[in-house]
Amino acid sequence: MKFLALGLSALISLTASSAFAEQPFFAKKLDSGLELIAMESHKVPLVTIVLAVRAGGMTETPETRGLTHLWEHMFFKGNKRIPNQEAFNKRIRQLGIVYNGDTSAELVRYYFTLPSAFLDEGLQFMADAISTPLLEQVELEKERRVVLNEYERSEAQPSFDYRNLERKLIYGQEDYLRDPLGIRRVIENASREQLYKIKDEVMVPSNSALLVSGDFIPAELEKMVAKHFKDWADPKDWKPVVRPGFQKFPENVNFVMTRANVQNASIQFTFQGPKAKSDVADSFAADVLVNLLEHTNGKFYKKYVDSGLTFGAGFSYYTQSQAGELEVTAVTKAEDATKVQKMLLEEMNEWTKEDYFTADQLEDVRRNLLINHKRELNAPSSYIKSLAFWWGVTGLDYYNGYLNSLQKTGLPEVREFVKKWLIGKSSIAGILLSPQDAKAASLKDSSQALVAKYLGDYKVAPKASNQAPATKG
Amino acid sequence: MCNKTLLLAITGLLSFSGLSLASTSLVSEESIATQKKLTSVHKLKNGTPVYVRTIPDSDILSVVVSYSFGLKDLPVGRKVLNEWYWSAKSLATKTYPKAEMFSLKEKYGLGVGCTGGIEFSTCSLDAIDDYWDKGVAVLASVIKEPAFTDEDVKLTRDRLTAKLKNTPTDPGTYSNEIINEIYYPVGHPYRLNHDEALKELEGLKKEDLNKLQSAITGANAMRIVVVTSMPADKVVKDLNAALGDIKTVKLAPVAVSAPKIDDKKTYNFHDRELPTAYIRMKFNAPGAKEKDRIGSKLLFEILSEELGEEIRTRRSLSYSVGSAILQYNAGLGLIVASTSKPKETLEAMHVVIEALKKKMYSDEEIREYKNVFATNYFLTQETHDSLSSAISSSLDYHGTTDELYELPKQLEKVTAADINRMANQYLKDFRVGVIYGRKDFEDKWATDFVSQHLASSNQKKK
Repeated sequence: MKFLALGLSALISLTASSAFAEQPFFAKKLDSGLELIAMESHKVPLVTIVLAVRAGGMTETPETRGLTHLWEHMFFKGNKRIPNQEAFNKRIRQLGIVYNGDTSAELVRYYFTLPSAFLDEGLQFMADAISTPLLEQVELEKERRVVLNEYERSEAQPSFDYRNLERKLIYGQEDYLRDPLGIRRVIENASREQLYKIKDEVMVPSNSALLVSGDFIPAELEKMVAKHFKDWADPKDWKPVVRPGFQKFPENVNFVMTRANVQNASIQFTFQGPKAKSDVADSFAADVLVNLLEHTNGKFYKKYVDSGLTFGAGFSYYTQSQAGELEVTAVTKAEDATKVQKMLLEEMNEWTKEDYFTADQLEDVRRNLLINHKRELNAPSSYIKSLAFWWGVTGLDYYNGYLNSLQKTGLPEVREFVKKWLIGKSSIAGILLSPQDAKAASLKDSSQALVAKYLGDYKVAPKASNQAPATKG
Repeated sequence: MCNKTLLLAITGLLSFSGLSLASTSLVSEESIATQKKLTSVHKLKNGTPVYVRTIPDSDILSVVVSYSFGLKDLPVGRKVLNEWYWSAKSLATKTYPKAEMFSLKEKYGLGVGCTGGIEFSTCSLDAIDDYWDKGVAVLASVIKEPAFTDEDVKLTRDRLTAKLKNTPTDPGTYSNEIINEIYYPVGHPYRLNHDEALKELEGLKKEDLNKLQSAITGANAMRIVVVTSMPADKVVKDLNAALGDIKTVKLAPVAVSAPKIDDKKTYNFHDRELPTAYIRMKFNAPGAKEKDRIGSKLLFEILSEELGEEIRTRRSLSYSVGSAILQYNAGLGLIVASTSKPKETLEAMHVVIEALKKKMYSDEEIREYKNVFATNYFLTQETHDSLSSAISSSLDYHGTTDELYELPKQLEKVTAADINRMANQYLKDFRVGVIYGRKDFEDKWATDFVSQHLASSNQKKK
């Protein structure tokens, strides 16, 4: 094949080239402040439309905690053109729309894929939903119960308390800024007024982007967008929401939590990590480190995964702009939990040594990042959602330089990163396992006092009035 | 819209047939013809069929090697081999010991792996064209000569044990076992619960993996699908060199019939204190080769929408409610819901099912459901790997790609009367599984639901 015929040196030179410098999408800012980002692909006769908003936990208050997520649900209800959710659902079927939405700490996305023949109608549908939602009381009452069931599904997971406790320990009183699901009490008491306030604060064109991928002609798309989104405007004197910063990362906390139905033992260390907007170079180093530790011929993988010592172990970094977390995790047999926890903590020191990662491994990581990018582009309907993530969290300038920056990140930068963020730094260290396994492994649940102190908000019983409504059935 | 005729000629673009809000065609004849034209059929020298689907202007490739072998083909006591064998198979081979295998995968970004299915299993390769040679060599080695070293046998056994033990952790996942316990009688070819699998695993050895390798690696047991922009003759030539020497094996196909309902085993409850109940139902539905296989896909799309409309939109009883059809040789229908109001939810399900049996949809309504179906259909053709999987599934059950390529055209023929007939024919004899706190759930709620839809009791009433 042409690539192999060039030999390894040529192969390496390609990885470092600007093969991906030219992005496959175009971006443009409309007069309203709305950004239009679009990527043409004519593989299948479909288009995917994403509306992304820089909102989520980070734009909430303790009183509106979880309500951006509730708003996301209300988005799929009635608006000025479509009177209620039943009519909304009918329109979805008419246009052949496959849709969903998600809310995270820093981003809200609404997205649908539909036949490209219906692009014009689809854009109008999206414009109506975001600019003229009715947010009616009767619909709010209905959707509140649906969101509460979503909350209950999360609550049914054995890791529910662990995740909430960890967040509380790291972010203290400001934990609501990182908790898009919110708490039951706030969801139960949510009002239309609160939803309207969210609409005016964050669901505005200057805080949003419209992203389109698939089978369209750019000039026609631009005309359609201009036509359908022309009446969507920022409220007068609109300014982005600014929320308080976070407390200093806490001193070391160690706990063991037992919950019924947990199988095996989950071990986790969480450290403070770089914020993608202010610690840019470190955020790239974090991503390279993640990939190096996943290298199947690397020391870490061999020692912890391929040896069978754990059923899975790794390091993760979730790119965010307002906060940063680094996680070292493993799943083991309960009897190995303490030993592996200790080993992992010591292992991080090894990551700074010159022979822990090799130049060949780094080269493999770089090449695979490029190959994976090709695969991403091969799926325009999901790539455009990823692009929405980068737009919302880091901005497109960061993303445009992302792959090239990762290609330039070397092992010295990775080692410096480990020293700066992990070695000797405080962490939240926890083990989650079943009471039976804890007993067999001579571990005691040490989380009860922390749970009692911090998770009171999550332990409130459902409101008695949370009953199913009378229906036409 | 864009000039599709021009683009079709250049890139092989698929197109709807002049879709508009008033149209009835989901896919153009031209699109179907283009897909067929881009697919060529070949045979290796040992008889293994190869289907090459060309995707112009792309340097990504996807290969799926499908085996006529799955869980159904293993006897009770050895069923867990299905998952164990396929997970251990791609770790290392006689030509490529593990370190070398890992090196090749890392260096060339090769995605090589195997998965055991209910009726068919697969080994697959995802790569870019530049590394085709390396990828085919690794894939062929995985298929022909897995090493099953002592270390890997232990490693994969331990991992599988941990995975099986983990089954009850997530109530959503566990609800599938709760319902399987009563849906599939002991000995049914599709049945394997996690506790049964754990027991089986204790009695199996490395030799069992090697024996299975010899028994199923046959030219007559495999079919290859390649989605690529590379010329088909080169693809076939290289596959011949890599896989053309595989001999045939003696296959003993296992016949599968849909599980018969046992009136004494229609409901299974698992007591767990949870904030929401998990309800899961299974019932017989048209299999992959049955006459109603296409119409029933639309029936289940409609059932899912109607359940969502009534239970989520109108009554706000559930965040997650829906239905699906799984089409193996024996098909099955699935209804799932999470709810903190299980009594009301079961009542609402009854209302939806009864309404669906009585309702005659308008042509416009049927067309709307078909539109959504068509979008999902084209989404499966978006990427190389999803397309190769879809082609492979079409070949598994029908021996032709026409089943996939003409699916929208066949779907167009489904009428409101068909939906009404199928609703009455198939929405019955539900087996119900529930996970929830004992004090929060009365068995009667589920048994009443089951009784209302038992074909035998309804016949007696008539």
